[in-house]
Amino acid sequence: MVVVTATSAPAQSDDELLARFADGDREALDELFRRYRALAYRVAYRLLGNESDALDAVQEGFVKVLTHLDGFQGRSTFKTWLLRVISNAALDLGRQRGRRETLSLEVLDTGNRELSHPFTADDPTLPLERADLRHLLDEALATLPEPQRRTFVLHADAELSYREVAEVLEISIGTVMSRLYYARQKLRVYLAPRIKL
Amino acid sequence: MMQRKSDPDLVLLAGFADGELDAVARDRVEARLASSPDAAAEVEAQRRMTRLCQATPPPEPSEAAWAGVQARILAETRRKAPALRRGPGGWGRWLAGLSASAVAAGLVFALVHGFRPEIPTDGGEAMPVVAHHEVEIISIDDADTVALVVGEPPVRGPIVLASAGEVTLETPIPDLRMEDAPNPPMLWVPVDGDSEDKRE
Repeated sequence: MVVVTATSAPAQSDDELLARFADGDREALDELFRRYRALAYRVAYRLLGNESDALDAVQEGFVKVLTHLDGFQGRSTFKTWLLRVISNAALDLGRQRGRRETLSLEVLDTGNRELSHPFTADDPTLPLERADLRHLLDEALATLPEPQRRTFVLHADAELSYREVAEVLEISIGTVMSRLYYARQKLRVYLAPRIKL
Repeated sequence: MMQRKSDPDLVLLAGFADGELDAVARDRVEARLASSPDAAAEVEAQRRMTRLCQATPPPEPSEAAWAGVQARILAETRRKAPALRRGPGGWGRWLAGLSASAVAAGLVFALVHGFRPEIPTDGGEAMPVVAHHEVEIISIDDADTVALVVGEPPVRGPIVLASAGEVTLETPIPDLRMEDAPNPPMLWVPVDGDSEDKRE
């Protein structure tokens, strides 16, 4: 018996997809969007705090990168370039729409409410508390200065390395490390009275 | 919690927690951890914040929401990026070379005897324009009259325009005039149904 293994075509690189897209290949856009939409959304959501605004920021970010391909000169990866544009779009949108005020209203109920039973940050078994925990974390993030918040989100949510975060934000790796250190300290100070860490 | 901001090695604890230090810095931190329980606790606290964030991702949008976003991206990209080349399948035809002001001024093409452009017969792509009898010029700024051309569509191939000084009017046509002003329009032709009969 002959066994034939079907092999899928190797995934095209971002550069190849961009070149196809520039030639008018819509499927290249489909693939690029599928590849990065979740990552872009996580960053935008954490910076904005709600789905609607986050999707708007993702949309605006993708449109900006795809209509300014000439500006992408390969000095960074497409991923870091995209996330720079997405995070800029999210922060701009947040300023326009008053993110902090909205967030404060949304989490009013959870501000100082004690959770029903002790919850630890490493306990994955409580989906209802997880939503509360996410709200509390969003509250805590809102108290950070914008540079620290953005650095933390890019590293923790987008899971970028220090080098990639530095590339996105056009700062040094040392600055990335410093911002993360102080951001996580401030988050801990905010959350410690509210949840068991 | 460690608060001594004057200690630059404190920041290294973040890098150590994330596995981002080079060998030299890593060794320095490990030496410190061996003698400082506070430093070890800080490293763990730094890691815990990152784990907390990763354990509470935002809820995923629905596929319908994603489809809507993607459709809007495609529509906006098409609208904003005329420089994208036409592709085999998806983008459709693009109009190029018509400025908004020229369109607003009622730009049409005129074919005047003596410089009718040669129309290629190789099936080359035509640039769609409106015919002169389909346009009524309501008003036009002086600055736009430099680009006013009247003719018959479709125009294939390159257009060679003559300047005012290169054209001699042999048959005076009522309402047709040229001016000697700098950069005058080549010809002003009244855009009505009788204009063709008046041209020689």
